[in-house]
Parts: sequence; C-alpha cells; structure tokens
Amino acid sequence: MAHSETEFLQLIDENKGIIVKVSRMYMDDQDGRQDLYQEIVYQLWKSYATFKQQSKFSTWMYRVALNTAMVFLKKEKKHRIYDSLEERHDFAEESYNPDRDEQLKIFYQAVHELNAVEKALIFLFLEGQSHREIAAHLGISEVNARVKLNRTKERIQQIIKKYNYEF
Amino acid sequence: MNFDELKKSWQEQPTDEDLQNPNLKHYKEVGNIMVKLRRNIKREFVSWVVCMFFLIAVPMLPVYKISGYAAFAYYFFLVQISLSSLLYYRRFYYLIKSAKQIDLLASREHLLKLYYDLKYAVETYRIVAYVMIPQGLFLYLVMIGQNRAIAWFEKLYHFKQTLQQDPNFIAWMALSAIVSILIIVLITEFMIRAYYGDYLKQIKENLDQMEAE
Repeated sequence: MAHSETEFLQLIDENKGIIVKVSRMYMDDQDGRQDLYQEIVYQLWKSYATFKQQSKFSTWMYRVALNTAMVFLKKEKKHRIYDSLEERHDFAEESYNPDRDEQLKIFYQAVHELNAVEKALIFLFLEGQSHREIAAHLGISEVNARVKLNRTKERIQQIIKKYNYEF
Repeated sequence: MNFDELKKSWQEQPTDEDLQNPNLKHYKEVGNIMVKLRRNIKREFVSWVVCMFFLIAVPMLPVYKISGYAAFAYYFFLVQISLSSLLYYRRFYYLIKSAKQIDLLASREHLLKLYYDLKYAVETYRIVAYVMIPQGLFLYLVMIGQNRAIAWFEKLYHFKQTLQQDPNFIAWMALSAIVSILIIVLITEFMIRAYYGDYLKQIKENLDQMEAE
C-alpha cells in the first residue's frame, strides 16, 4: 500500500502539468482551481487500483482528469452564479497571470465561455492528441471529434473577436 | 487565429503553479488522528465485550455464590449498564463511519463537524459513565458480598437501626463507596484523556492553525 502510494505520488508529480492545465481550463478562480486539482488527485487515487498498465499513465490521467473536471463543472454551476465577463477578467489577472503570454491569457478567458465538452476537445487538441485519440477519450467517433473540434475552434475565434482581440 | 502558435504557447506555459490546497497537511494529520482513534475505539469495544461476558458469567461462578434476588438484581443492573454503553458506542460507530470517507476530511467545515461529533461522543461517554456509577457500585457490592449481599442490603435498608447497632458497617460502606466513586471517576477521566481527549485536542489545534493560516 505504502509502495503503491509512493509510486502514485511520483506519477502525479511527473504529470502534474496535465492536472494544472485541466484545472485552469475548467475553473476561472484560484479557489476553484485548487478544489478541482484536489478532486482530480482524489479521483485518480480512488481509481488507481483499477489502472491496468496497458495504457500510459498520462493517457489514463487525461481521461480521469477530464471526466472529473466535467462533473465538477456541472456541480459548480449549480452552486454559483457566474460572474460577469469583466469580473472574470479580474479573476484571471488576480490568480493566474501569464504576463509572458498575452495570447494565452486571452485564450483562457475565452475558454471559460465554452461548455465542458468543448473545453475537453480544445484541451486535448492543444495537448497534441490526434483526432482518433480525442475521440477515444471522449467516447465519440473520429469524424464527430473532427467536426466538433472545428466548431469549437470557430467558437473560440468568435469569442476572442468579441473581446476586440485577434491573433 | 493561428492555432499552431497557440499550441506552442500552450506547451510552453509554466505549470509549476502550486494548486495543492494549503490545508492538505491538516487534512492528512486529522486523517491520521482518526486512524488512531478508530483503533482505540475498537480496542475499547473489544475490552467492553470481554468485560460483559465476564460479568454475565460471574453469578454462575461458584466462587461468587450469587443467587436468588441478588442474582436477579445483578442482571437487571447489568442490562442497564450494557444498554447505556450502547448509547456512546452508537455515536462512536457513526463517527468512525463518517471519518472513513476521505472527502469528508477535506474541508474545514467537515473537520469542524467531525470535531464536535467527537466531542459529543466523548461527553456522552463521560455522562453514561457517571450516571452508571450507582449501578456499578451495586454490581461490585454483589460480587464482593457473595452470599452476604442480601444481608448487607437489609442492613442498608434499615439504615438508622444499623447505624446504632453496627456503625462500623455503615462507616465501611460509606468509605468503600467514596473510594470506589473516586476510582471510577479517575479511571473514566484517565480513559477519556488517553483514548480520546488528546486526539480531540490535536484536531482542535489543526482547526485553529487552519483558521490562523
């Protein structure tokens, strides 16, 4: 048990970036990100016993992290009234502020207007996953994944245009 | 919009942001305390079961020679004591059950609830122990009195008469009662402190630290 716990923590540490990025995609404030991060780690640990090493840990992690984030977002939506767009700008600046990359900052703001599945699609695309892999993660067909991803990209572009920003 | 460029920025973004909940250390500590508490509760429950079996068997043992009304009264009080004990064991059982769920240890509100649940269980334990002192003394008297128990109760029932005829008996009874009560109080307080009180204090310290941070 202690051995598997150490092994698990090591794997989490190695792939921490995935959880951090998923948390940023799905939650727009620091507290929400911390809660989601914790929830993902907890869900990963809960299902770690069932993780058969047939796939890579990171592949399995993508699936668990995204599923957790989607459920978490649904629950969160029930609990909180979404703040106005301007307030979200403030949140983004207060908590995560990648000054080095204005483009990414605007992108994160836009992403928070997408729904849970769209977030997952764009996240997996940016992570460099192929259409086939995206389809497998989300349990949809490859063609469907391609179509949905293109629509999501268009939606993001429209949202960003709304901010009077273009890149 | 150039998604390839975005992809590059995405891959290069720093991910060393510490999203670990700062209270995680405290949640873990309380989790460890609950493991120890669970062990103590189980240990105490096992001792209680063994003790109950022994007390049930006492009147049947020839060495104690308990029979007749004394045996009936003995079992009557024994049932009272065991049923009362179930009150706090029920509380402890629910406490253990809820503390097993990790997610219930992952917020200050839940820890606060856990703290007060534990405090309530410990107070129930203390109250039951004190309320059951007379019954406990009675059992003790029957046990050590053996076949003289009925005669002793007769003497106590006719208190004034006994005080005039056999004051030593009354003095001995009063002294025994005082010493026994003192011993029971000391043992109860020691048990509460060693088995639960210290852990209760540790949980409170964690809660206070979380509030301060």
